[in-house]
Amino acid sequence: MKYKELAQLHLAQCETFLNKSKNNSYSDNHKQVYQDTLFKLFNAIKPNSENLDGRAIKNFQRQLSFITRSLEFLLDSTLNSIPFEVVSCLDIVMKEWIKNEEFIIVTSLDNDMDEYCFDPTLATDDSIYQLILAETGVEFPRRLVQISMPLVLARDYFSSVTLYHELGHFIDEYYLISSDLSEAIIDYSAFQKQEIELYFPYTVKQDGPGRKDSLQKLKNHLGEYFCDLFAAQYVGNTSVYYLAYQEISSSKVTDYTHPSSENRNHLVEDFLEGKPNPLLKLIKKFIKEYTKNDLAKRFEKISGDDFYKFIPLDVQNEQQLHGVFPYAWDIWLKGTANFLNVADLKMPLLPESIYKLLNNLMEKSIGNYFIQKDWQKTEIK
Amino acid sequence: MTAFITSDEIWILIKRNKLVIRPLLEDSQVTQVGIDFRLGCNFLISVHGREPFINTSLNDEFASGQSNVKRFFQESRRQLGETFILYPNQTVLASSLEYLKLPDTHLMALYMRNSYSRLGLTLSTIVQPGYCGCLSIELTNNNINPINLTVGARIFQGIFMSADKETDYFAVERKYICSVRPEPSAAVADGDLTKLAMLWQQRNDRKDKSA
Repeated sequence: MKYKELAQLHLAQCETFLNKSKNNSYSDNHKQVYQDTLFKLFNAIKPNSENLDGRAIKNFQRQLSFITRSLEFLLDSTLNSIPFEVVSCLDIVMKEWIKNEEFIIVTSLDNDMDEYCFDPTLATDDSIYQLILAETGVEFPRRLVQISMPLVLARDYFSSVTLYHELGHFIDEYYLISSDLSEAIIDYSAFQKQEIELYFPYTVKQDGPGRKDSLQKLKNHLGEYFCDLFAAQYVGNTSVYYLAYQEISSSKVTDYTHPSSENRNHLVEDFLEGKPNPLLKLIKKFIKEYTKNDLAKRFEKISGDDFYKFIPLDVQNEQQLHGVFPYAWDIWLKGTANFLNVADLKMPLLPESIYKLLNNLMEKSIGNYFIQKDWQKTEIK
Repeated sequence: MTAFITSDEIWILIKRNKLVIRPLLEDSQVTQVGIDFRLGCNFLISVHGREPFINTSLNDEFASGQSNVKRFFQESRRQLGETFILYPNQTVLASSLEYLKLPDTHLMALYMRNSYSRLGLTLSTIVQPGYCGCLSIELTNNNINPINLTVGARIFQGIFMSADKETDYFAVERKYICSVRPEPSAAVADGDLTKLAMLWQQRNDRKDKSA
């Protein structure tokens, strides 16, 4: 196989992508700095393309893939494409949980309507940054937190609540919470397991060749439970509403990557209602130990009728900011007939028009909060 | 003739929640004769589309089916403090930074602020009593030079005129409700156009292709 020639093809493709990215325009200067650092990296590795052998090709390929993966997310994170109202909310959340390191939240917009996911490679894979530093001396001042979302729903603030869950995956990976928790649970005695077995309704192999697989399954499920609880702190049970709808025919089904939506709903409800729950207690303990933060309700329930009067909320603080999502969800779930009734409308309004206006009011409520905050903190010198 | 209202009455409307402005970043935006509005973050920029012209007719003389006006505009966003360059003869749909709900008793006329009129920017439109949403404005640069505008700058103003009676904005069907970004013209949604297209068909002995 002509690996050297293939690596050079990869290099040419990467250069084309980099050149395209020169047109990207970011509001956040950190993204521009990150992109400039990608150019530095490319220029540092390009001369090596002539003299590549076995291991060197692999490292070369990894670095090129790092560049293209970064660009893929930066491309959909320009001001025109990024839903900056939601990303700004997520940024507040991230800073509450990670205080000593700086990350940049970037989004990739996907054609798949169900594509909500977190990709940990650029945020938590230390080895690639070590390789880059060792081979080129190039250092990235911030790392990217990559969240994928559906292109057509980039302005849908109802489904945006799922992004709080996806951000939870990053926090989980960063602190290795579900990873270490699964290591602890797998060795539980039968008596210890009894308390939480409702949430893990399958055989867990403690020994032998099946242990690795069981451990991974436990980790996957604990990760999902953690993220549901993480999101519920900010947006209540709205992130599991959508899940319940999508899994209407399989709410009791558990697979390798996800626990059943019935169990996930149950855990979130217990958390929000302050009910005792052994798994919740265990996850809370790990969260406190690993992050020094408490798992707690971090949003304010908004009860005003501004949306029924067709005006955006006058959001005063971060708790109210996150509360915008459950507020609008609550209105939507009461039904469009109720909306028309409370709003006392004479003209007919189709459900899609109500959806559109609620979305608009959410966008403006969130956007206004950041506009006012920026305005107030800026003083003329 | 209906008179415009001054700052005292505007403040009374605001305090009674008859007039809602969110956000009102500075009280000084309420001037002696009206309210200064700021340039918002969202723009629809006119561009040359693949289709030869914007069709506001439902007659099928040029093509079957109605063209989408959105094809002639490109969306662009900015953040507070960033800038937007408006080129000579270019039309841009923008919106106010402020979201408004107007009282049912007052109509508002929009004009450029004098400093921006002097640059060659024109605007003249009205906002109906009871309207709610950000204000959509059509900016055209009549200058021979491009003009760089700052998002968040006070560029246009609204003058209120009281109506002789209260009206209900939602008593009839509305095309624009709670808009927060500029929306392209919905002229083709006017009911009259359907009637006019039928009239044109009958007069010219054309067959209704949709039948």
